[in-house]
Amino acid sequence: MAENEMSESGAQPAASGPITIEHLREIIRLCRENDIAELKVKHQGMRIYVKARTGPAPVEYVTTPPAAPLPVAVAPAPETAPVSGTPAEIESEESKYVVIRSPMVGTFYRAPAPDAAPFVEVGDAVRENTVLCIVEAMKLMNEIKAETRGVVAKILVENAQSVEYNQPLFWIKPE
Amino acid sequence: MAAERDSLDYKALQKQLAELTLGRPLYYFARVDSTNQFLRSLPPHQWRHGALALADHQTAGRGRHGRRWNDRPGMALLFSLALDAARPPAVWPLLTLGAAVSVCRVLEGQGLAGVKIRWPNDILVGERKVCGILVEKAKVRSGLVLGVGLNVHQTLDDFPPAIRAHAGSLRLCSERPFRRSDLLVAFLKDFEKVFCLWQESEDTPLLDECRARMATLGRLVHLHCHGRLVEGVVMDLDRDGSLVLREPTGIVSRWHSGEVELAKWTED
Repeated sequence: MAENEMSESGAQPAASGPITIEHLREIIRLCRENDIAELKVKHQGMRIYVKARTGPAPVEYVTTPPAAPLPVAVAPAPETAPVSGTPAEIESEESKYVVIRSPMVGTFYRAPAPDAAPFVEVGDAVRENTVLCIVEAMKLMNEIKAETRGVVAKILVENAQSVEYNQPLFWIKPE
Repeated sequence: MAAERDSLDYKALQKQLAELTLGRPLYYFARVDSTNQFLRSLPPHQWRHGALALADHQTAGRGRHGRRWNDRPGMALLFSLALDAARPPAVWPLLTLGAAVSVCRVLEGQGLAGVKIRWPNDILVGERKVCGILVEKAKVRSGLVLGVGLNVHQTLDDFPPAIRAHAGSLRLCSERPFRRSDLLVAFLKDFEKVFCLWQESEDTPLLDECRARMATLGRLVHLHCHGRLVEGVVMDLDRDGSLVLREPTGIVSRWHSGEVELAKWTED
């Protein structure tokens, strides 16, 4: 599907030559069409950061609402807009960590069952194969692994909340 | 009414499976905790795309969040398939719908009428659930396990009272006898085609087949999700298989999780 091709090929514009305004337009268009919340592209020394606007907007689609009551009038808008420049503070803080992102739209679970202990807590040491959480979509339980060695620095999503494709879930401080 | 059973003839089955691309190697268990769990735990050197785990009885068949799948020995067709998923996780849930389409086609091929999919992973005949599907990630990277539990020979007495009103089996839906091995081979033949389409990103025909068999399309449903109850009319399946509802407020929402019931069922 498009959003996946997006992350694999769309995020790597033309192998040669700089990123042009056409590439940028295409990236924004793909982000908008595929409800991508956030995207970073690094290419030949140039860095682009695209983030979806989250304010109210007259859009029809609401993604799976979170556990908390959803104000009906305020729909999370999958409308993307280019951000001029780089949000330096976020960039520098995030760059210290490995960011674990959701590979799919779904529901985020911190534990294997409602009455079970969470897979990990902040401060826990993790290895490549350590399961951090489950993202469930249509009853498919996808265990997300750390894929790196380090320590859980931050858990960015509450249990049983819906998550978007590519949404950051954890920050891992590498070993 | 005494329940009939049929035996799973391992050697005969192996011969039939030899002609298919899915179904080898075959692991047969008279009794196992869960066929999904068995395949999920296979170490990389034993993992094979197409491996099939088949059981006469599961002691810990699992549904969502560890819920038990009830069965008595020899009554249900219980199996799991190991699949190499070459596509990204965002489209893995489509395999659940694809498998549901295959189960429907097999049951229709056996002459059953009123076979429907209850999004995302149940098969109903009439308004009784006869089959559940559960896709899970294997330990092996990009490995998925597709589990199917199909009630074949049960009578109403075989189901616990709590689910008797909504549970069904093929025997309860039809006068004709069924053989579990025939149903299994028919499923594997059909699902081979479904899996090929999925691998080639040909999702549209699968979604169309699924829409045509949706028990709830165009109907008022209650969707239970994270303790919330949402009412709405099912408008469509989105291209990622998510459920599109029009809520009473007019808002159209897209759901990736939850349990769906026809609204009238909860009013009974």
